[in-house]
Amino acid sequence: MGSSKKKRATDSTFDNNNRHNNKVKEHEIYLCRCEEITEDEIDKAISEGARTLKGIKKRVYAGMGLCQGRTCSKLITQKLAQKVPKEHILPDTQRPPVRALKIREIIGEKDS
Amino acid sequence: MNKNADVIIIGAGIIGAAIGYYLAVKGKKVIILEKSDLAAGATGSCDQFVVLQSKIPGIHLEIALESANLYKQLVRDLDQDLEYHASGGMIVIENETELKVMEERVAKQCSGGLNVEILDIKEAKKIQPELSEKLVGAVYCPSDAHVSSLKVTEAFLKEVAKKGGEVYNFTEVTDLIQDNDEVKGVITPRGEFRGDYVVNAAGVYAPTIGSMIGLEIPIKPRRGQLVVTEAIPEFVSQVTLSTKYLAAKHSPEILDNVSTQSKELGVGLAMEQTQKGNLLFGATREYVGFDNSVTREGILEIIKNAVAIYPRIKHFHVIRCFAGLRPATPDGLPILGSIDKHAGLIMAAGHEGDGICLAPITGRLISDYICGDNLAFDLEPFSIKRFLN
Repeated sequence: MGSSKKKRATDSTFDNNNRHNNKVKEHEIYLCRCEEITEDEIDKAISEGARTLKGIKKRVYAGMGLCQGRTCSKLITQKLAQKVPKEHILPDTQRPPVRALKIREIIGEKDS
Repeated sequence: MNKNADVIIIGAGIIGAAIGYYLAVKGKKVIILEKSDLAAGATGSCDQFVVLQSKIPGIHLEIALESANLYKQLVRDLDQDLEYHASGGMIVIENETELKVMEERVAKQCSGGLNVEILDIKEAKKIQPELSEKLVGAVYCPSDAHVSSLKVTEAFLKEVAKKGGEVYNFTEVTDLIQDNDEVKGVITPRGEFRGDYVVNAAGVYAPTIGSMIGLEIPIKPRRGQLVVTEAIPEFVSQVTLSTKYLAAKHSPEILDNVSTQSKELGVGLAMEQTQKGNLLFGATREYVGFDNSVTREGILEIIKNAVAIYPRIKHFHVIRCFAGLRPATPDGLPILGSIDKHAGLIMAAGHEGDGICLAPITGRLISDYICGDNLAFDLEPFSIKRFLN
């Protein structure tokens, strides 16, 4: 029961594997580093109709990782700008917390 | 641009996409119109459960069981990883009052054909070692599963396009075209789209579509707030709900020893670990109109509630909180099927938090209904008639 068929990003990080082919693709350009989403995957999402940062996120999960798009959103905006006037590209919904917060800090427990 | 199709579907959430898919499989030409982008509403801001044991014993559970079977078929038929895992699921029991309620419920569910059993906390911890030992026990159901609502929606829409259907994002329906009382099509800024049937799968916006022809649809947005942690190695192997979650959903009278604030917010645990390793947990159930912001009180109550059930989550980091609006009906069942006074218009909305679970069966039933094929279930219990008098 404890061993799952699922391949988790973290499990694979510990295995030195990447989520796709058990192997980091050496010559790929990664735009979203947290979720390991490549430039090619972003281009494909745009060719499939994504026109907003949210649309990219819903299709390939870019911007959903630890940094919440703080690094990749500008790069992806540049990509979207090939299809959409840049001034029409809105930032994705900003949600709390701004920085990752430990749960025990949120409920007011002290570190032991 | 004016276009014709057999069926016009309003909404590219998981429900509209499922209906489009099953119609396209039957050879119908469909056009799906979406005011924003795919999965922009409840579909894209929810948990990822296909949970059977949270359904009300009776017709609700029956259609959920059939929907779960359809998911197994979809995993084979759709050309995309749906992140579907039939890993089983638990509903934790926190006190003796809850235990009594769950014993009755489990008996009914067993006679409804669902494989569920009550475990004491020791047995439950064998399956889910991170559970708090202070719990009384858990109801275990091996058929509960989880799936990516985003991937399912995307896969449905791709199949629609492959089979000759069309999907228009950023195309808001601004009016319905009527001939006498028969709905013939829709008007959008892109032009008119006409079809033999128009399906209202607009989720929380379904009442807006209804109001265009003076039809009152009793669906209200109900907010659910959720918390996402950083990706961590396997922590929970299954979907976990709490009895309080069910109570907030169907029967608030179960909530005995719960703080007023938590009760008002409708807090109950729903937790899972995504394929990428993030813990995703919630949730609240609040009627606050179309406000989809997160609140300090809501998030705090969700976290306190979750820590009581899985104490070790204290050590993980929250990377995001979010909220989604679920299309809720007064009795918790969706509104499906035709409407007496408005031939041509078909309802398929109001699934609240069951949309992911019930999408395949909804797509199947609505497509069978439109094509005049045999229905696996009578649509009468889901008719909008139950609210009109």
